Amino acid sequence: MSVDYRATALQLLETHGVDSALEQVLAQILESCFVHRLAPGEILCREGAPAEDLYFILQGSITVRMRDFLGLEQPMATLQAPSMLGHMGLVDQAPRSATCVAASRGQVAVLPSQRFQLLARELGPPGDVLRRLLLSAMSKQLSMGNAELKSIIARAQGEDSEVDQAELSAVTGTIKGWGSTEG
Amino acid sequence: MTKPATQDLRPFRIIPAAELAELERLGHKLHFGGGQHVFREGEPADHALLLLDGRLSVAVRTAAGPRSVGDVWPGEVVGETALFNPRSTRNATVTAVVASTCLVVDEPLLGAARGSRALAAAQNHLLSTMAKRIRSTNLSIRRAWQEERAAKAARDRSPEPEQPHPSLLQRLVSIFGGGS
Repeated sequence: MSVDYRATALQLLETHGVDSALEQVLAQILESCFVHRLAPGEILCREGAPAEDLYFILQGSITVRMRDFLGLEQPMATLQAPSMLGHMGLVDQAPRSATCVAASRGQVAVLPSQRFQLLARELGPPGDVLRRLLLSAMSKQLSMGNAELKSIIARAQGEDSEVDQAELSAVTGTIKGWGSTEG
Repeated sequence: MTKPATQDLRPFRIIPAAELAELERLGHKLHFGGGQHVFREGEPADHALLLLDGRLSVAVRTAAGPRSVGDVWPGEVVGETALFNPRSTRNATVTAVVASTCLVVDEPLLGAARGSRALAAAQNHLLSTMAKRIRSTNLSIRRAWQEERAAKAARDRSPEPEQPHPSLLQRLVSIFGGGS
């Protein structure tokens, strides 16, 4: 399976609303990465493990799973190529927040942590395109998280129509960071 | 030359003053008087703000009226989910508590300041802010899911309980603190 890096880069930029003039710069970053071929069901990274790489999905799809408080893995999302994952742990150097499993046969471009850190600090176009992709991806993640919390609270409000509205206010007000993270 | 307002903020301390001044020149500043609205919940959103000076307060609308959810201090960012998200709206109302100055962070600034150390520092600061908030949000979601499932399981087990189970909302209140 061969990959058209220019087309993949352009799609990634368009998906994330980043200036498409940076297409060639991103294509060069992708091309310089190590390519890992995935078999269906293969685990790319595990929740709690150290974050060592950023992945660009070039072909196929990957399911993201998160453990609940009982320790059971719950599917969060399935990402289709082209997209980016594994960036959170590299940005804040914390362990993986989710397990990523190949949902189909596919390929990922692997950007190792050391190179990521260099690129993230670089002032030229490669650093700029990486930072803007990350900002866009994380902004969407945050919006989705906020939407999920809102929908849980809306469901709770539906089920508890007779509950004191002050209680609902208390819930919304105490979900950490909700208001201050909104766009 | 006037000292750039960003120079005293932690993420920018190592950046030369001339570059910070250039960043501030490219991205315009907004000044708010104490009590003045910065963002209103529900209005279209296309930029984030880096608070340079002053203090902002964030509140969300609830059925019981506006509820304060925290303050923003100099060096902190607010409204960052609007970046790269052209159809977003403000989900919270932000008000200046005292006279405050903010730097507008938007697409034109990100494009115009390419190659600048000050911009790279601002972008990395935004990234680490967002990483913290995503992790915090994920934790809240996990807890809320768990409570929702527990509430459903309780309802399924005993549709007509002799003693009522705590409602989902009551459970969420107990998890997230419930107080003001």
